[in-house]
Amino acid sequence: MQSFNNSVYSFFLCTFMVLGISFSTTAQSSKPAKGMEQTVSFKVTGTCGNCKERIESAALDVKGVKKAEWDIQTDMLVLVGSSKMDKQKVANALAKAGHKSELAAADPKGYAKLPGCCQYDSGIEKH
Amino acid sequence: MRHIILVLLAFLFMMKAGSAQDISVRGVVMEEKLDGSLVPIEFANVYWLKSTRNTTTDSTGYFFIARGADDGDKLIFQFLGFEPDTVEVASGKYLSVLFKEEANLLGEVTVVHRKRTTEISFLDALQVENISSQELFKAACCNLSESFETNATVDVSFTDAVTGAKEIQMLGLSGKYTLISQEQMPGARGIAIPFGLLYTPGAWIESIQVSKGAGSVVQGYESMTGQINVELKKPFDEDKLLINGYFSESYRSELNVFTRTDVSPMFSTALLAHYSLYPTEHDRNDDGFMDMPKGSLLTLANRWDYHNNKNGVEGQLNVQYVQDRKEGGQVSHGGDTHDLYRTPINIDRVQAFGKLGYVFPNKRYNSIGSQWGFTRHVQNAEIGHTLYDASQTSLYGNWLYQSIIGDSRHKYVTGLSFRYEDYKEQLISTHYDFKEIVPGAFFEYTYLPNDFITVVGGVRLDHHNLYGWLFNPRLHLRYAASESLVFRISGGSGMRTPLPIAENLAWLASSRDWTIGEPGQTQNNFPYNGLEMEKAWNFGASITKEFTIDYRSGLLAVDFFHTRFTNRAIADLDISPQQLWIYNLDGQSSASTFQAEAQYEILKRVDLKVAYKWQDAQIAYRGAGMREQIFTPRSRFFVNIAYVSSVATYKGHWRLSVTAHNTGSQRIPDTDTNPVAFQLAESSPDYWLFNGQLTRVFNKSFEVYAGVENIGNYKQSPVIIDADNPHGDYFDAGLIWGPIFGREWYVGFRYMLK
Repeated sequence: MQSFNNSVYSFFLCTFMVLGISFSTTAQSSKPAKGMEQTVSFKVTGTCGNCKERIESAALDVKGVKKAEWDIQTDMLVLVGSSKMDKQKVANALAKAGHKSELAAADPKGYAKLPGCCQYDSGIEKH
Repeated sequence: MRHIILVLLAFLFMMKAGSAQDISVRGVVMEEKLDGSLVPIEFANVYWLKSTRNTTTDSTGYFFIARGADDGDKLIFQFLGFEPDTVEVASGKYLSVLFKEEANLLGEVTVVHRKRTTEISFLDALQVENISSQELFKAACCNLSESFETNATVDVSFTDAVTGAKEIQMLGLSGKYTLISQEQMPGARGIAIPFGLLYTPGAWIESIQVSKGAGSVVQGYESMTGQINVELKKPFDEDKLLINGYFSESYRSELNVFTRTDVSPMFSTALLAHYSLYPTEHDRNDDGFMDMPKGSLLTLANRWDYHNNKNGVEGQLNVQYVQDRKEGGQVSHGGDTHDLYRTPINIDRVQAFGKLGYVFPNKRYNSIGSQWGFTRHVQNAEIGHTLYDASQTSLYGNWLYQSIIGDSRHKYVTGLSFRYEDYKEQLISTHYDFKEIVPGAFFEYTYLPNDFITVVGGVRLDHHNLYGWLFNPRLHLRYAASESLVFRISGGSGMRTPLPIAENLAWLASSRDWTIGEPGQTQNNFPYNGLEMEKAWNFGASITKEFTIDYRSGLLAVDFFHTRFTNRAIADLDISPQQLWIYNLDGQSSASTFQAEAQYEILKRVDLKVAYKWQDAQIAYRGAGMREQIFTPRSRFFVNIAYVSSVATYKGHWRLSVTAHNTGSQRIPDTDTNPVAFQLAESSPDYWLFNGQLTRVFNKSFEVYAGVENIGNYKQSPVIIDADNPHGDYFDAGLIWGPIFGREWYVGFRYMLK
């Protein structure tokens, strides 16, 4: 059973540590993360916000990818990842999910499963 | 315990390594006209100060600009006729840049950051934690009382071993000191306190906002420790159909249906239905009493929403019905229940509320709102052979006007409110009937000089037909030292009318003789033999820090709150194990809590949440001096780990959530004058509870889940004192500090249609 003193002890310990972290993390701004990091980009076809969510989440599921951001205006997918990140693997994953890119054609099965608003070959415009 | 904290802290320090770097910035550039309307600016030039790499906005004002290592963090926005402005982009948020039109003068640029989706709001002056429906999915099920399993602020426990009533605690004090609202309208309160939390099905909930501290004066004078606001699923948003089913080891079965439809582009409606059943008498600890009352609960709601963006009119109507039938007590084994200790409780509740608002089309800061509410709650209960019948009729009105003083740095909300309550209670043969008629007025001013400082000051004055004038001031300050570090302090007072029978219903399940107030010797005409209004001051401070390490976000939050009563209706169980006295506080009563919480995505797709809470609540009991408040854990600690196998939610994936929860020691009321066999320890042991849940998402519309509650099978023992003689002098089923159930598995499914 925990004594009252123990609680008080934990309480103060906790306060100081958490406060310490709060302030020390404020100080840092843009130091690069440990290990080799790479940024790559390539074009992926999509039409709307719905596609954006699909493209980014499918890319993020691939090993080594830390951040994925697709822009609807330029079709450009920007990826940040560790040295293990392989952009061909990302393109393959996107192809499987139905999105064609500079690096891979879309899997017809994946394309057929795309929501109507994302079927970019149907003549639909960006919206 | 100490070791766990040390490990946690060591881990927190390790997280410091690494940092975030953004790869692009997006946003929109708009012009704010003098009439307040917003017009997108096309062809505005956007470029990095350092590298001069540039882009222009499109016809919707949208821009996207990549950010390389040599771009720096200063973005320049340039548009003909306006002075260019430099914006520092500390982290790649979605930017809204406003050029203001100011009578031929070159306007200044205002930067508004998009509201974050983190659990603790950064922009609000109040400390508000938002619990999303995704977070609610981690809990087993099924109603509001079970929605706080992965939340450190709110604790939920059974109040007794026979009625199934549940109570929440916040800031070391009973949930009756927390304002519970449904869509900012009065929720479970008054007579509904013991069972009210059960009446909001989890599947109906869109989100819950938990705010600590005094709160806003707009919602009334009752919030003392904070507010829990529940937002139900909306008629105009998200899935068109949701079906949820649940079944547990003890045969608890539930079915929830939500369906919505758009009647016209402006009108939409939704139907919500819930039915749950506890069909059998379960007595797993063999004390002769059911672990949970058997019975059924039916809840139905219909809501309407009207939205007209052209003329600025908004309206809502919500009608809700609850039918609760249950019976706990001794197991009958299918035989006659006449001589048994049973607790039949029947409740019917009808609730209707409406909202009507008008936003001035050209002055978005200017609006008028009105809220209307009606509730009728009827309860017939028998606890053993103690009759307790009660009813409550409530009318509520709140009329608000919102505007600015000069410019949008000075905002205010002011208005009038009206509350009418008609309570009728009968305990054994004594009637307690009274009415409350409370008109009131309030004014709340918000000062927002920039993104970093917010000051909210509010006052309200109400006139109570029994207690006279009630004045309550409240103040909230927010200071953001940076975009991710926020300090807050708050202070204010709150008041409420005690309802000693409903609030202490648990102790009807005992042989205790009740003494409410000062029978025969009151100096005043207050209800319950002279119980005064409960009044308290609350003060608090908090620090919230958001961080991103290696592109994964996290949050640290610490807060301290202190509540001090100037009057309180004390329920004293220490006088004797055969007595319950409820009397006005004579002396001091206070509660202090400290909470530290950390959240971080420790590995890709693995979220960790750790929280520690310390509480100290003291009351000056009559004739006994300052003592610890009963059934208030001195500490709480919990860890939740949640894993999701894919962030691409449109395809099949798995979700796993595991929670470990430690509840510290609690003081148990004195039982030392009982025979030795019927005595309890002075305080409870601390204990651990473990819960786990696995969800398989097949696709966007179907998922199944299975889980186990209380994996360690920890149970309080004994649950009931002298369970063999429920009509004897020592029987007590109201001394509950731990789980009554042991381990229990459950399964469920959700079917959704867009």
